[in-house]
Amino acid sequence: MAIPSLQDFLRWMQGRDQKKKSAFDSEREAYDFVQKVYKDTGGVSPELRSAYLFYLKNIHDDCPTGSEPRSG
Amino acid sequence: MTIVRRALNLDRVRIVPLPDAHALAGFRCGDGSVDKWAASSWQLEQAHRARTFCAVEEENPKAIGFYSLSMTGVSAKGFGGGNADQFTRDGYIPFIYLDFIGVASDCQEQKMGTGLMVSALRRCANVVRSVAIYGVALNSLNDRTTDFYKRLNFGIRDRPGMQHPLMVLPVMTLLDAEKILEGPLPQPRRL
Repeated sequence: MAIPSLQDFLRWMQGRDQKKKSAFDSEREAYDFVQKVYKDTGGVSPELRSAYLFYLKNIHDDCPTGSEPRSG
Repeated sequence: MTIVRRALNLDRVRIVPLPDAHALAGFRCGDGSVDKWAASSWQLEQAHRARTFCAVEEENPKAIGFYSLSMTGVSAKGFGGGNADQFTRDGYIPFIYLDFIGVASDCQEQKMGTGLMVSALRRCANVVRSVAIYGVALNSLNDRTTDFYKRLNFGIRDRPGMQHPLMVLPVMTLLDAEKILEGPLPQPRRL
């Protein structure tokens, strides 16, 4: 089992007595956040690509294959 | 406590919809909140609160890993009538939410979690083709998992007062990743 870091412990202490806070103040803020993450990260990372290739080669999944993603 | 790990033969493992109430009974991955969720997964399935998929080995009724997906909204507080544009749905942000993902303690460190993660993302991509969302969201439980999700290009949303940071994979990244399975590998985008 992984040993919690000091930051994890402090988060746990902080969160015990607090009401949950919203991640975003508005839908617009969430939309802008997602756009910025995509722009800043550049989409698929080498690790995500590697994960998909591992899945493709090794994992037997009942997940149905979808159709082409929509564009435009 | 030392955990004895056993070698997995991935040729004998399949990811399937949660088959029954027993598959995740007694599941242990080392994180109490994940194990607690697993224990209630069948009831959540029956209540249509979350869909759970699990990794099972041939001739072993016990799951060695699982993930759960739902449309749990991420709250957007204080958003009301004044902003009459297309981004003003009250209350919730349209994300698919990865409630929990876990691998049994004795089967960890063999990339089963990676396989489950991609399986979850593929199911999200199938939804995206019919229902519009902004991305796949989850709450990371510790620094180790936060680093893992960052490497997959999840963005992190961490505000004072949040017990666990929200992490979001943009829907555009999700659909880009699907292209990896369709043929020639896409070239990395220039930043």
